[in-house]
Amino acid sequence: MITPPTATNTAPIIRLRNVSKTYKVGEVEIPALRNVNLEIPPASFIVIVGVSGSGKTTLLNLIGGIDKPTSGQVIVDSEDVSKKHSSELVKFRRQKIGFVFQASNLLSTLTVEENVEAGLELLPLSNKQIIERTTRYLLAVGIEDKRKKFPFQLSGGDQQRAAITRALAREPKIVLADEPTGQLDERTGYKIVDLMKIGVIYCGATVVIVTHNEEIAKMADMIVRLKDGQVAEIRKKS
Amino acid sequence: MKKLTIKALRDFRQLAWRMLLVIVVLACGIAVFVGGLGSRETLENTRSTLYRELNMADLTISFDPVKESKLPSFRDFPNVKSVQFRRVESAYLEKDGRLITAMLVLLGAEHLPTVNSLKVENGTYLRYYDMKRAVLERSTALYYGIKVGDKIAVRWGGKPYEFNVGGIALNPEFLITTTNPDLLFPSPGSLAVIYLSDRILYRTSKVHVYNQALFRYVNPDEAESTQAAVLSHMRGIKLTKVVPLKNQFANRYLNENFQRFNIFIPVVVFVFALVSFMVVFMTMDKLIMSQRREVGAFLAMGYGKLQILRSFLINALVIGLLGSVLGIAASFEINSFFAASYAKAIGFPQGLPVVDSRLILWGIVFGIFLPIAAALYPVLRLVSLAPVEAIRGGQVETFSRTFVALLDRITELPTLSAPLKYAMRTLFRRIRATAGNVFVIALGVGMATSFIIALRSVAVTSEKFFGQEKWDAMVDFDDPQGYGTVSDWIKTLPEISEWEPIAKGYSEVRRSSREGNFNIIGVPFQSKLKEMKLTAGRPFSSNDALEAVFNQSLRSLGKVELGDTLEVQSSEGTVKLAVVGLTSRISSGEIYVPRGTAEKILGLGGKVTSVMIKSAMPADKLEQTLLSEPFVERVVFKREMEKSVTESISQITNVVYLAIALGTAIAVLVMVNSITINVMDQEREFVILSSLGHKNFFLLRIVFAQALVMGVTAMALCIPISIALAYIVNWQASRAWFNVSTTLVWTDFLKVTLPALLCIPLATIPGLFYIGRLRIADVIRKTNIE
Ligand SMILES: Nc1ncnc2c1ncn2[C@@H]1O[C@H](COP(=O)(O)OP(=O)(O)OP(=O)(O)O)[C@@H](O)[C@H]1O
Ligand SMILES: [Mg+2]
Repeated sequence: MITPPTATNTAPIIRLRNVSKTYKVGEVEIPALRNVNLEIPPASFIVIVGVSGSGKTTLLNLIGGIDKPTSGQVIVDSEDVSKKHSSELVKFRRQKIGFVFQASNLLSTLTVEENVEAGLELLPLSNKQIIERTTRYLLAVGIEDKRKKFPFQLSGGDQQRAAITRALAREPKIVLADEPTGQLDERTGYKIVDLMKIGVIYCGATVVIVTHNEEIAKMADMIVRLKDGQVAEIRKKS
Repeated sequence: MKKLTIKALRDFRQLAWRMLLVIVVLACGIAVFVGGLGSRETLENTRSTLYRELNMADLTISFDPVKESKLPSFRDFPNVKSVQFRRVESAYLEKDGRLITAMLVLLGAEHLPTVNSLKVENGTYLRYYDMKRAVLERSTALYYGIKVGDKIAVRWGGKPYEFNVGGIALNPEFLITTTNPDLLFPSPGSLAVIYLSDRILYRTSKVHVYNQALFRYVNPDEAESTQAAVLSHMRGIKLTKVVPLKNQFANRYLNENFQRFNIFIPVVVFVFALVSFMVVFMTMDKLIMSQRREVGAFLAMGYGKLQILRSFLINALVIGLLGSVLGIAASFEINSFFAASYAKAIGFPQGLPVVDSRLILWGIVFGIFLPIAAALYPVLRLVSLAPVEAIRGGQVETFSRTFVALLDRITELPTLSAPLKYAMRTLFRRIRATAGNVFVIALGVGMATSFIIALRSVAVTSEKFFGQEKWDAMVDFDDPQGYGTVSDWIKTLPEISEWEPIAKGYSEVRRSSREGNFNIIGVPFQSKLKEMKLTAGRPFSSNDALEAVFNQSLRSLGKVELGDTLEVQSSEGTVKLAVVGLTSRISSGEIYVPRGTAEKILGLGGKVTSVMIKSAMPADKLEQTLLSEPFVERVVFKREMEKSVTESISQITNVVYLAIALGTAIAVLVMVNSITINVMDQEREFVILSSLGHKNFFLLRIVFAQALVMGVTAMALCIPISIALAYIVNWQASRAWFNVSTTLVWTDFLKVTLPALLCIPLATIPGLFYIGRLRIADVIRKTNIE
């Protein structure tokens, strides 16, 4: 069963040092992040807020190693992500990161169960372990009864649940979610984020969520507000 | 199984119709490639099997009649497996009031000949005591519709004979409709071959007299040295003609025919390869584009590029495997269809289809490699995207914005109806897919059209060739005649407006290291009846200049060029001729020289072998008048030659029609498919339109308008494509046959495009059904979830 973490680590699991990211569209340069410094403690639930275009997605992508900063350092679990080759990044993501996107990004021709299993096949697990873990997380997220369904047969909320299952089942150190509740009503959205806390509580994972939902923000251990690509405010739960 | 593999296979099922089209197109290409090239193998195999079974002569020597006892023995002669002596006489077969040159072959009735044996297909072989019995060669019987039990009238040595046809037999010497090798152009049925019992002659002479010896070798590779040994062994006998197998008429004719067989196949294979490539490319591109975001999620999750690549290539592999299996299966049918229809056209016996394992292997390699190659680019493009870019989704449009904007201007024309305007806009939005589909349709129709153009070009070119021949009849003499004799004889004939003598005969010709047996034709200097239209060079400078005009059709001497020297064997040693002109004719294996030079080469001593005659007399009357002169051996009419050329063109027509049908079928298939896919892609827009209150009829008009725009564009594009392909086909024909000049007639373009345009309404039917079944709620939900 899911067990609480044994040791508490106090060193930050994610550390951004003077991180800047500039996109170039033709001749125009768009600064998405400017000189961001940020430290995120392990096993915490972090919410990132900010208006559209403030750089939230960019920040998440840098942490997850699917994008690289223009300058500065991104250190995740004592690995310098900004210095890695793309093949090393693939390995890094495989071992440490779980993504949940705004739209579910489930493969449409695979069932819920198969989508989850597709995520687990990358890990050194036996077939038996894969099946066991899939069932365990589908139960925990509450969509075990829909495991044989295809994505188009599910409601938007259930699709997002399936995507979360896919990310959590891999038991990553860090779960990154970019507006996972964007298309859901407040209540469902709240429930889903609540599910993600399972990750924090039972696996000692760090969850970083981008959201506009005030209710969700209230659950956070720490709220980071971005403005024009800069950290405008960090509010910690006392 | 890995989940990504399962995904690939399910994607395949989802795109079932599109995939089916891809597989069918690929299979057609492979079937034509393997079956078409294989059918030539079938024909060649039939020939070599019959040569082996019936002991085809490796060497045929004709000589002045010799008593059996005076002939040398070839027992234990090195490399000679068996020898057959026989008596061959020339005569005429009388059929429907016409005289057909006939070859009488007198054989022992006790047993079948050992060399050039017979395979009696109907009736039975000769009988010793039955001297009224004849066995007819198979293609002669076929051509003239003579059956076992019929009586035939033969004129032999000026006397009439009647024989009963007791059997019909296949002979390796005449695997094609029997043609007279001495004619300028082989015309089917111009030689009747009749086998008779040699007792007819033995009864009176009480001794066997032979004039032909047939040799079958142990090892055909040593043909040259064996031939030399045989010839020296036969010293003392007056030889008239020595023909090794490679120069044997029917054999050479078959070689030329088989070469011609491949003219159309490369183009068909090329077009199918291109079409399959494009269809696979477009299908995979579409599949991949629609899955960008999902793939992005997997890349983010830690899947490697290779894993994603592999999963998409599985689809290509499945297409390749299914296409290959289907194509190879169909290739057997194509093989026997091609071989059978071709065999029928040239009177060649039907053989079992031969399957060349190497061709099949190539077919499979081609079938698997092509879809993978086509899928590689879109897949590589996807996996080379950074995950962030992939997740963001959206289309990467490669065509320039300004181009699309320009096209959009067209739709602003006020005369366009609303559906047409909308239809064009959406087509331009997805310009890449539209362009691909239009191109594929144009290719299919273009290929079919190009073959129609090629057929016409061949026919028109051959007509032009005959335009150079101003004579009506060519008269051959049994022995060369003095010019004075001929001139006196012609003066006695009525209604001969013009005539010119000709000196012709066969000789060995050598150019650097290559050599061959050529028909040397001595044409009068500045001939009026035989025009020499040259493709290069100049006409002869005098009546006895050592000059030659070389016929480039099927140039078996390699590439002969102006200024080359040809070494011709004459009775007085080697004569060197300078090539001053090049020509291209429908017949092959000819070298034209001034008549005086020909007389010298052929040792005619001022005599001529033939005359060309221009006369207004009706053909049958002219023939009778001419044949009543004893030294006239045969008369050939230009009109008959024209007919036989037309027939030989029709030999390939069957094969071409199949290709035309295939091309049209592909075009229609692609049209149905692309219109349907187009409709499916736009279901969201259609649903929005109908939720705004537009009637289904409005949507139908949009679909129809799109089909029309695509169809008309494709037909316009088909014109340059078909012209380009026709040039390729004609170029191939020129290499394998004669110099075909491309003839464009506008009605030829309509023959396929018009029916294809008429198919457009049909092609919209599946799309219309799809629209009829659209449910607004479902579509909105589907697109929302996405
Ligand atoms: N690939 C890109 N190319 C160019 N500009 C980009 C790209 N990605 C992001 N940007 C720009 O960078 C800035 C930050 O983008 P980002 O997506 O991080 O914002 P966000 O806070 O996630 O916004 P939203 O709440 O709308 O999702 C924006 O101005 C955006 O236009
Ligand atoms: Mg964002």
